[in-house]
Amino acid sequence: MPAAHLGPSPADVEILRWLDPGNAEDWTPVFTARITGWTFRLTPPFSGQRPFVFFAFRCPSDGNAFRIAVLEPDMDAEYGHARHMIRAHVGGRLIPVICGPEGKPTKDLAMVRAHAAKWMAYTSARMSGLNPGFSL
Amino acid sequence: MPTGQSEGDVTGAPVRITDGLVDAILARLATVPPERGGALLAAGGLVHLLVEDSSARYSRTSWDISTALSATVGEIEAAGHGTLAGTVHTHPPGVPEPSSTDIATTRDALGLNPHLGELVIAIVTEGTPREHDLPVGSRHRMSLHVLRRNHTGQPSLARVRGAVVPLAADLAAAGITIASATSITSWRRRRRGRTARLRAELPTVITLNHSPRLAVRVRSARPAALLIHPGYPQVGPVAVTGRQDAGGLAVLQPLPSPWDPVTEPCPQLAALARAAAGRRIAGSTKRVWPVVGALSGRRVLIAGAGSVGSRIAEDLVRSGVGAFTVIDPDRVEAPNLARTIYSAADIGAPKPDALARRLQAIDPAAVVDRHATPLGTTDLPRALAGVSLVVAATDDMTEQALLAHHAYAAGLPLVACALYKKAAAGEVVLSVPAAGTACWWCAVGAGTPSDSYRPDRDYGLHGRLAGESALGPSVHLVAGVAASAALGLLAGPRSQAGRHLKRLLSQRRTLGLIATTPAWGFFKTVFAGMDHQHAPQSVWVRVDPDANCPVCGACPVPPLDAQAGTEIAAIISERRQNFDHESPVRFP
Repeated sequence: MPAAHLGPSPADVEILRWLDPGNAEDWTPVFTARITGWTFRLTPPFSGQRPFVFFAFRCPSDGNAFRIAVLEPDMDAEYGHARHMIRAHVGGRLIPVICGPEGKPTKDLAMVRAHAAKWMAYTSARMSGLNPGFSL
Repeated sequence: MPTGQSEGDVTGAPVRITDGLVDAILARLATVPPERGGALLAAGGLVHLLVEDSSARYSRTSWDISTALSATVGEIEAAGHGTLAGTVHTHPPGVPEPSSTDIATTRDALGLNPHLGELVIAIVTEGTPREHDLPVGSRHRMSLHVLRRNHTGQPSLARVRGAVVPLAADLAAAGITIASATSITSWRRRRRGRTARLRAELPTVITLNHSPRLAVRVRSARPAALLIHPGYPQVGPVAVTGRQDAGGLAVLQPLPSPWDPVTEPCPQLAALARAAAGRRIAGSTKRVWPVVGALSGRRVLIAGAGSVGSRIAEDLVRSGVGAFTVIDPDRVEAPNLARTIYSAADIGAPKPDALARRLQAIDPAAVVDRHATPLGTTDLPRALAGVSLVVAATDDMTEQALLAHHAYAAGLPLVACALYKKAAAGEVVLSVPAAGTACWWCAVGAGTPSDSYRPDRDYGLHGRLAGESALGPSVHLVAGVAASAALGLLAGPRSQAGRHLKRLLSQRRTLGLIATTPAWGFFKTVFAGMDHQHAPQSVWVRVDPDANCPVCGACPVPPLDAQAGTEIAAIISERRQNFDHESPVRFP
């Protein structure tokens, strides 16, 4: 049965309305006949680094929760280890995604942003040669 | 007595001759006066076939070998029924050794066949067998001699012992016949009119693992044979069936062929014959038939062949389920022996292969399709085609959710089973789309109480549940409930096995919580004051579909299929390539 994706869900838009009222983080819907998701960018805490860009897509089998892939910087190889990124099977392919609590997908966009921000804080510190102080 | 050979000299390994060949020599040569003779053919070191020289001229004291014998042996060799091993013929009473003519003729034959290292000369005479003779019937004996090339290439004669291999008798006891003789006349007659039938009657030599084996047909609706090793019965046969490959060529498919050389061979041969023929043991489901009816036409997909999945599969095959699709990427490891159906011999084998061996050892007719791949990379729509029931028994809840979604979308009933921490309890989820039940996710997905009971996820295993210390019986208690439910769903609501499920499904009590320990979790509240109660206990919880659920809600969404995976990978790849690293990131 074909999916009937009609664009961003009202629930997502409602969350974004209070999460990022001015869309400073450039939340952009991505939807095809099969995929519903968002791209967004966050500013890293350490200077001299470019914005981190993420792609969150829904997994209908996991209660429509989100998986979060990192588009920029491409750190799949550097951080592709168990504690910070895992490879999730998505439609038969292994996609590197941020490892949320217990490796589970993330329920809504607020949590997506929280997990992405934490991953960015960790990675940004490591890129600056600093000890992030958590998730070692 | 030929030159250089004395009465007591016996050298080398014995010539191994099948009992069927000895019987054929008795019937076709020894008891037919005057002299009679023929060629011997072998598979590896096992002499198994007599080609009677029915075109020869015989006198009371001589066998004038026909030219047709050589040609016929060549044809039979070319047809794959064996390799020339020597000759056998009768002598008048009192002449048990080969004559100088016999030796000269054999020396000539060896010269004409440079690929052969030796040829046997077997002489059959009436009389009591001497120490080194083989008895042929009750009144004859057979002396065996080998003309063998020495290190200079010159043939020299040696007397050898014979050893009778009880192949025909063992096969006959297992209901299989093996042809041990033909003749020039029979071969030519059949070649003219019924070649296929002749070839079907004579065993064929097939090389398996660099060793020639004698292929003996097993009567069956499908191609089936036993491949007899020349070292039988110390080395067991291999049961094989046949199939056609993509190009239409016949391909042998070896089947699990356990063999214990120190126990009686006949029952083992019978079991291998059943395996080759794919024949169920008559009466094996007699005691479950009234409960479940006929299940041989049903196929069950088993995802996860660990302690839960392997147990459920075994219960299903014992109840008559005829076909399985098994998906598991792991191999059998030592810790699996404590709680699964696997044995020491399975260590290191892919679990689907080991489970297939087990299921087919119970029911040789069982068909098992094996997928040694992660569920997430398996083509699930294809794997689910033709399936009657899905059993979800993985240790990866993300994959469990994916499978449950695919099953629900395909309208297939599903039984999911998982153990909680230390196997103190477990869950059984029934998901039956046709009955309008809730899906697996609504019952036990993330955020439900069940999610918190599970063992910790192991990031090192990409989020799979960590293995817990627990007893096999605790696991089997829960798996047994799941197996019972699976049989009930397969047998249907009118069956004895399915009757009880009918009420559960109609009341939507589709989440079974089974405690294997007393006073587990909230059970101590539910069963408070009931001192007569003890483990195991179960509670079946009502689960209603969530209207917003993408699986069983009002607007279902299909699972992410291969095309979706490709699209997501492409999005990630393309957008990474298209970044403008100098300016702020913008998306269209």
